[in-house]
Amino acid sequence: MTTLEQWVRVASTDDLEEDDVIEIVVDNLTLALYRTRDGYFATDGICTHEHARLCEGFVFDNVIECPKHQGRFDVRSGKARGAPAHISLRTYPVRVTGTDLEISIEAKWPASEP
Amino acid sequence: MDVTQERPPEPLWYRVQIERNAFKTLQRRTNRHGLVFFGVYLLGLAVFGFLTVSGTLPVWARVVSFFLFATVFGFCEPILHETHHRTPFRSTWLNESVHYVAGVLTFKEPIRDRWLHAAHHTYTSYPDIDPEIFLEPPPQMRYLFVDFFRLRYVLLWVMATIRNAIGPDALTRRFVPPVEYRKVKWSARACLTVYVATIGCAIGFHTWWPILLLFVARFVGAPLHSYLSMPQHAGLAMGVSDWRLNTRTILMSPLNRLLFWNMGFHLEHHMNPIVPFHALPQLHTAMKRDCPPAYRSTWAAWSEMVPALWRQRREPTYLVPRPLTSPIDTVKDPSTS
Repeated sequence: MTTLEQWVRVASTDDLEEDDVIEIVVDNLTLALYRTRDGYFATDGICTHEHARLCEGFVFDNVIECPKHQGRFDVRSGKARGAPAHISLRTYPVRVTGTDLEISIEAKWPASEP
Repeated sequence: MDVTQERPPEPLWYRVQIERNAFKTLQRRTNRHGLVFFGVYLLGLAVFGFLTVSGTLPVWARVVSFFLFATVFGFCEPILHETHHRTPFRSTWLNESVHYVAGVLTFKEPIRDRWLHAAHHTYTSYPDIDPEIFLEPPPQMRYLFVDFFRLRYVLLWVMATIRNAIGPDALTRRFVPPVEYRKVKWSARACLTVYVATIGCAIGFHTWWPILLLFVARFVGAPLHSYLSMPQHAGLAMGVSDWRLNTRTILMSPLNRLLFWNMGFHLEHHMNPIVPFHALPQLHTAMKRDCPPAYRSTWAAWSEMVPALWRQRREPTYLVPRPLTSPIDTVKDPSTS
């Protein structure tokens, strides 16, 4: 079982360009892993508005735009930034160990207020 | 549409697979494309508006100028539509500013309408739930004429704005989350303020120009936009989760593409609304192997649509069949699988 101290390797730094997103599945959770100019971030992988995979969305200026209705979220805080998104995403800590990207899914950060 | 119903589960839509890097390239945003298209729109309004108002031309030429002004004016609708999706401009403030201006000109309160438009994408041509459904079978053919001049819609939109300036109407309660009601209310009030101020200017300055250039132009100039937009879904399949069956892509002239912000590529837009309007021709090329053939002209689409609607009067289950290159139901919405 994953604990607070347990980090799971989910990808390599080479898997992401700047302003990029990929989907990862950890313990049956679908997550989105981002690289922006400010670093690596992870959120829930499915939009909170309607069912859409955020890995098919557009990343720019630390924002992920949902591919389905263009709702927007800040990838750093998970905060909803534009309708029709109004419920924030959960975020997950990411750390870089060498070229490995690791995530701790037990250490969920609560979704921010919309 | 029965607005008292609960929202049904979201359909799982068929989507054409596009290679990841190609799709990322298509998604790219710029301010340049939006500024050029919006600049052309404003320039058209300024030139034809000036020729209409200035006394240098004979009356017949001023009437023609007014008709051209109004025709350009009518294309505030695709601008509102594109900015709903936030794709024309990379800059958020630029997009939202143009979004609001286009909403006022269209006579739609833009915040609520963005939510309704999202629902149109979720439930495209699903009876009783798609808030933008047009000529649901059996169609009332008189609406073909009435809607050509936007006589019905603009009045409905203004009534909705007045209603939402007081509080949420039934459509708002169905499609907009309560957390947004306050924003919609104040936005509706701001829109109404612009309309009242326009009437106030006309009264204050003893001139009809503000009335003509805002209110009358909205109806007089609607036909070209209506001609291009009305065949987007009408006469095609209802209640199926495949945009290839319920949405037309129509190849248009360069001038109409410019005015209509490439919305002739409507099937491509529905399947991938995250792709900006300026990249839709490239998206069309990337998708067409798996889509029915595009209509060669708007006239070709009308030639199919009108007889189909006429037939639906007596045979409401009749729908125009569209040829598919891959079997329906084999690949359901990869974005939601």
